[in-house]
Amino acid sequence: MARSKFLVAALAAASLWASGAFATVLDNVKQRGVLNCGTDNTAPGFGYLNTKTGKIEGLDADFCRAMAAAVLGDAGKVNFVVVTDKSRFNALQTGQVDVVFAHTTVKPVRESAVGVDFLPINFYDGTGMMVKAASGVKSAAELDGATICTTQGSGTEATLASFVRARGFKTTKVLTFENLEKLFGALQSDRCNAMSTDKSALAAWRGNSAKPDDFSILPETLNKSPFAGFVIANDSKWRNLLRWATFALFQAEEWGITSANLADRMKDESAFVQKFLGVKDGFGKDFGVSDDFVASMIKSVGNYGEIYDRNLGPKTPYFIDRAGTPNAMWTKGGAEYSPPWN
Amino acid sequence: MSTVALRWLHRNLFAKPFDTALSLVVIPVLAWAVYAFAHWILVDAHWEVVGGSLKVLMTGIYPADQLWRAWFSVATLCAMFGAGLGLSVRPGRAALAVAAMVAAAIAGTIAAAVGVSASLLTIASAALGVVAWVAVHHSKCDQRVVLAGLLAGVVAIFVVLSPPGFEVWGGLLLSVVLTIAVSILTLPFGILLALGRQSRIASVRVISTAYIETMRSVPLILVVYWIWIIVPLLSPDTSVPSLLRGMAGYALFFAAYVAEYVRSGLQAVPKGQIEAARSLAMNSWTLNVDIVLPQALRVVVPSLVGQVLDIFNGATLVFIIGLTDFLRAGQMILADPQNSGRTYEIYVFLFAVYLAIGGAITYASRRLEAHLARGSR
Repeated sequence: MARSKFLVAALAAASLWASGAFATVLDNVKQRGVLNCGTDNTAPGFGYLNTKTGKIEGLDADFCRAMAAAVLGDAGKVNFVVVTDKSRFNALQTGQVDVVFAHTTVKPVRESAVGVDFLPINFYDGTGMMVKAASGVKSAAELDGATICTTQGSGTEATLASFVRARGFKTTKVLTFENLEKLFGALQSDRCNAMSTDKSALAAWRGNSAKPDDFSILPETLNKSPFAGFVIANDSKWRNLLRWATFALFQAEEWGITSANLADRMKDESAFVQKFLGVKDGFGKDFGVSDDFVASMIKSVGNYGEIYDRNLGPKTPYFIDRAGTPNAMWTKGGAEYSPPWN
Repeated sequence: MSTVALRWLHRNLFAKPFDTALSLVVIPVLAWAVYAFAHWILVDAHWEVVGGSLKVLMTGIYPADQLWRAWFSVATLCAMFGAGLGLSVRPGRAALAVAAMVAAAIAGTIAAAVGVSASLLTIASAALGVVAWVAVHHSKCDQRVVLAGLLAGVVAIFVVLSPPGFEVWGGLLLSVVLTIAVSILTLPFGILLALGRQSRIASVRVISTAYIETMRSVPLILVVYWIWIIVPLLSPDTSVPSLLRGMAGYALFFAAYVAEYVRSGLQAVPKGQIEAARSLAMNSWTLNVDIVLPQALRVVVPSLVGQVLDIFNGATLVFIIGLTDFLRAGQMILADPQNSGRTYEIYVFLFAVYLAIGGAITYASRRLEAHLARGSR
């Protein structure tokens, strides 16, 4: 009898503990009043410190701000927690951050074994190739007989080998170098006709060179490396909110709603747009946030296209062309696609 | 050229045919290297990037309107350094002149790069350090009072720096404060471990030995990362700042090394003294505190100061838990497109600062060794 009483007490305690542990992150964030967002601070174009303003900038950083605007109504209520490639998953599991945007590739083991849930893909990276602009090469198809270089032991080596085989190039050579610095040096000194690694890294090396215009990145993408933010697994309330907040940024671009014309579009005659922006009877209530959460995101950071152009657009040193890539809107043949908001 | 110089050249560089050949090859190569480096430093390099981002290099993302806290730390550190010098080095004219020149050079550089106000604050901090140096030396006060003062300085730095939150600490400030805090934390822990390893109680001896050997056989980065993960899992409150977790990791790791240094000191104390003390019916506490430790620590202080250098250099590994130390701050600056292509400037600056600080610590260690040796001669 005493034993069963003890069991009941233990079970009650366990269930209490469990219910405490399963409190949604959303409530914690609202209670705290600030979003802890994991980003890198040394990734050009994605998460880096602007030394003039002292602010973290980049595509990932803007997504953090957008999420803070969605959840708390203020893009400034975000606390950037620096994570590295090594620590980003542990930082989430130990509760140090609520969400991570750190140029992380979506992979099955990360959802199955590591235990995170990915948000919608917000950037499509992949192995690309960069050549000297003076060479006049405009497409990977022209690289037959060329020397293509990459880093040792990276997945890129295998990707390149299968690319060369698939294209039926007979005399194309693949050379490998110890690291990206030596690889870029080899391209500069014409030891290689093309260097190959992730496109975002190519854009960073091009942007960091003395004369970026001397190099051009070829349009082809040889493999897939989609980036997405992620949250802790088994918290669907939190995950769904951020998932649809990300979709909303895509949808706003599709409907042409920008930070500049937001005020006008709030008076749009379309009932869909009115509902989307939360002018009346919006979506926010059911997600557990303010009805105008989409409007406050767009007001502070703009739609997806604005975020992209601010960080990776043609006016930045790290220009990565959207046209013809999955990063374009689905209406332009790309893969940035939001499910319908109605 | 004077005959003295000629004779020196002959004796040191051109004594034998082989020497002559070697000199003829090496001297032009060295000269060219020095020339090329100097030319790059003085002509080609764009040092604006260092001036423009000095705030980030020194303090990371510490809020700009709270920078007085950082300046307070600089002044306190200078005063502490001066007080420490006062214990071991006589503030003679030459030493003071060198200190003034170094301070003036740093202040001049800062004035050119950042502004006059920062430069004045640097001079004020340096002056405070010199005042502390002279004051401590002349007051002839008890070393224990000075040591207590140094500890109070460290606590004051922590108290003043912490209000904006531990997560904004960064840059050289983070590296230095981490190094000092860890150096102090490791000392009591390391001494206890060393005594434990020599204990007559078997369980204490086994546990201490196991701890020391485990820590010494794993890499620092692993211990730091492991502590960083494990603390939130063990503590009910998940918000222990990364900085404190990192400090705990460093302290636990380096304590094992301190323990080994201290053990070597313990073994240097003649057995006869311990036996004599025991035969006088001294208890373990009195024996260790009054007889053994004072002699043991005197022997190992120079190695312990050398270990501070290890900790300072090892502090670059905190990037793994998302902290922005001095090195990482440099990398953070390079990630900013405005500073694209300034890799060499930033790294040369980091190299110079690391070299200067490392040199200062090595010098302090040597002076301390000489100072302590004087007592035992």
